[in-house]
Amino acid sequence: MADAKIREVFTVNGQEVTLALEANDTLLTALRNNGYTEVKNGCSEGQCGACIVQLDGRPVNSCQALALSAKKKKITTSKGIGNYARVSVIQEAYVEAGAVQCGFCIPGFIVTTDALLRENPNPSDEEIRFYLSGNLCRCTGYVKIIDAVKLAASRMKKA
Amino acid sequence: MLRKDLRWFFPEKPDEIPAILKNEAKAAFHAGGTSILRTKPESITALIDLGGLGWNTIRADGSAVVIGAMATFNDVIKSTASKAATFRMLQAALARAASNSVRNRITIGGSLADYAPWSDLIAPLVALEADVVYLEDGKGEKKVSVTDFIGKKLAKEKNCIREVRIPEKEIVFAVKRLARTAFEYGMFSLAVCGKYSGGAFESVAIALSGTKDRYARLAEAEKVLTGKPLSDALAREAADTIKVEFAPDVNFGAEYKANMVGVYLRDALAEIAGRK
Repeated sequence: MADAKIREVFTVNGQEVTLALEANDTLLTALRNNGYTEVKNGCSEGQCGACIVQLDGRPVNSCQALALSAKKKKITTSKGIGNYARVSVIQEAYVEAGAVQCGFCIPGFIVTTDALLRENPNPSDEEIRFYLSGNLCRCTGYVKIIDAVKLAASRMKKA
Repeated sequence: MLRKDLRWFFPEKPDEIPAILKNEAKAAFHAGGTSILRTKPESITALIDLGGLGWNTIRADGSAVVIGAMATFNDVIKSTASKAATFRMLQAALARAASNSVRNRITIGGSLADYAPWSDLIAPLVALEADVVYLEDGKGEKKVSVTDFIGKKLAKEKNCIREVRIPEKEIVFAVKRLARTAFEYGMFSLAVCGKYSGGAFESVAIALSGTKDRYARLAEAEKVLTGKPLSDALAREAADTIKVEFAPDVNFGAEYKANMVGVYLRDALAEIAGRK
């Protein structure tokens, strides 16, 4: 984004970084244009949840937030929860439960699941469905995703 | 489309707002941002972000629950500030709105100012006879009923909602919404509440949002229901008085929506009577 006019400091995944952006950019656009491509652009209307990141620990659709409104908040993407070098319990659980097929929606699910389990370490099936209501998956049918969340919850309790 | 040269302001005190409004050709208030991103008005030259004003608190002051304009729907749903049934009704209505992640962005003030026909906020606020406190032209604080706020179109660009006040009362209530799926925008929202004892309403308020006139108080139905034992027959009689107009949309015809109000009212009343 060499032509973007604004340079602003944000906190992304625990690091202070300078993002190049426009004043009218959504958080989704700003993150992707600055290399955070793990944040996926699905519907751009707040319907699918592929673009969900955490703002101060709460899952939000980054397509529904203007980037500059997030400049004083802590932004966490799926790579802030775990990455190749440090895979999180949640990511492992999604793989082991067979909850990942095409994978496009999964970064959003990981981010939301992390927020859920910090808020409620022992969620019921109904609580999981309610919390993940903004994350759509068109491959799995959700059963294995819910299994993954429960598997992650049980492992986090033991850890 | 929003302009690339938008200027952003982040006031930390309300008294910084008037100067911004005075100096900017067309400034708009920014709360959660979901409405602005839907309409993307090109005419806006500046955004005044209200996030730094501390207007996201929820407290009970002895007679009312006071909800800051910047409180998100999830802030309200998770709040333990009040156990009053009036507050629980609002929590129940907002818990059905959109998705968990969107509820973390939609604010009370933004939803009221935008006043989208699918808002799940308006019907309960009208039924609960809430008050709205706003800064007129960003300055003097005023308090009006929510129906005056909507009816007099006070959500003007220079008026800034500061808080909403819900009276704390013990009531019975039921909230309903018509949508294709739980996640979808509601086609209408229905809120029913009142004082109920011995199987009859002493008083009842029924509010509907999403109509052609944006919202309606179903006064005829309220009259039918007041002071008589609540039965299926009485609920049907109340439902038969409903005359509301909707605009058709891609999912539902206007007549279908109007008919469904009666069905949902009967459902709500059955729920209150403990039959559902």
